[in-house]
Amino acid sequence: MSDINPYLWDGSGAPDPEVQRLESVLTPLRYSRPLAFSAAAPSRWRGLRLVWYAAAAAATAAAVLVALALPHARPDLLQPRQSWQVRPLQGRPEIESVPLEGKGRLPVGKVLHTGAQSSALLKIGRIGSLEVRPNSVLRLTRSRGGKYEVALLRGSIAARTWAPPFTFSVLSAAGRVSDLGCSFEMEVGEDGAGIVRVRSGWVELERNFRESLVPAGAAARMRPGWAPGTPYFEDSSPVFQAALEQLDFGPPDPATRAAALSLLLAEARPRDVYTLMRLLHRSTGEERAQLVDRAAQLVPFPPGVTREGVLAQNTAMLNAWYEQLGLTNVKRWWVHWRDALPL
Amino acid sequence: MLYQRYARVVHAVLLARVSPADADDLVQEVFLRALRQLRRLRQPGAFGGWLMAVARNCAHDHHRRRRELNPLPADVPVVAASADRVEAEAVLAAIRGLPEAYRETLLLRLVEGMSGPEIARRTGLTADSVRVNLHRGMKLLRERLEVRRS
Repeated sequence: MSDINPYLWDGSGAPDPEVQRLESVLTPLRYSRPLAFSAAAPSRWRGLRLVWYAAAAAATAAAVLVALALPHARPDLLQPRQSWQVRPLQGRPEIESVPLEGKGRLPVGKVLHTGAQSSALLKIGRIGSLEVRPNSVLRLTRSRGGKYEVALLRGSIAARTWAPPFTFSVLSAAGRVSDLGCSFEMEVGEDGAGIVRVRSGWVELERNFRESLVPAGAAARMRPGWAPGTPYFEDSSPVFQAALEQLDFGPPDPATRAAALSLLLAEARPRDVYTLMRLLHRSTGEERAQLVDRAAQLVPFPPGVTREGVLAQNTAMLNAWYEQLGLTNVKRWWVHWRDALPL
Repeated sequence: MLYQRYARVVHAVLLARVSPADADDLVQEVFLRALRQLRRLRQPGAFGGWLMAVARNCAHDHHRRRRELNPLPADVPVVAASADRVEAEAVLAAIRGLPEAYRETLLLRLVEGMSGPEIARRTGLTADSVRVNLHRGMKLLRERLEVRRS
């Protein structure tokens, strides 16, 4: 039998630096899509064939009935599937320069434009709604295969969805924003820079395999050409937020970073430890040590978690420490998304 | 649920053979195909290994379909890849160059984050086989990455 490194075998023992490096490089490729079809396997194998045929026959009969009855009962449902229902909330928004008078539809590939005095409400298929606020330009880019996607070219939106994670996404010049079953707001300026504010659940910001997970009550900034900003709670001090912006998007020279980090650590509260923990993943050396020491002052390590382990990014220890923050566990949110929002 | 239990296994098998984007897209096709072919499964206990075989066939069919399509025109713009992405692709290419048993087991461990015992449970391999695949596969991978670096 091979004398295998325990860390390679089951993650126990002293971390192997090369294995850790490869995990870090390859983890962005990990599969995380939810199931997009509803044919779940039954528990009894032998009965499957019969059940399958019965289900197929029932589905065919239902489809025939619907096809016969639908044109009379709900003609609106026969509109092309690759479009979303839209109605003005105020003023007269435009679709491809044509004013929207009442209820209409926004087809895939077309642009919705709201002026200074207009806004609109879109239905995201059957999974939620999207408010497009004044002075916004939004293109519907996808609405098929269980995926709903828009591109926000500029302006602001508010989305509320009721669906498995990654069903709804918003593209912008600064990256992709994917909802994990939640409510959030997003703004994009003329230069493509923006901010995402999460009202409930979690949102993931992603660009080129760099991600930022933003919990309810927090926000994160995005800029074209940069990795998504580190999430922060909006009730943190203005100095904390300004220092974080320097660390995320400022010049990389050591003196500027050191000054920004010093301000950030001085202003941090226990609630801001989530931000410090997220920064850990992007820092090295002395910067990482300072982040760990300050965060541990604010939220002490639980039993079994050590400074050395956290500095080495030991996943089990980081998870145990993270549990002390009292935030919803993002994995639990994934699994129980149906229970997370009231009907 | 079977999907939750085996999606990462299927993904790793696909990732050993097709691009990351295609692997993501093919996972659900593998499950649909498996459900349609389920009557061919003689021993429910061997589901993991059988599903992996379905995934390998699916990847094979994918390559065959690709060959039947016309090649891309030469002037397709190339999107600049980030350094992270380039490194991930380089490591993935090195893993794809390993023998099949090593490459699938390593992808399950390094990409999908499964432990050795979990890989054994899901794939139907013995724990000793997984141990050997991980140990020898990692040794080979280190050597090949070292050659690339130098």
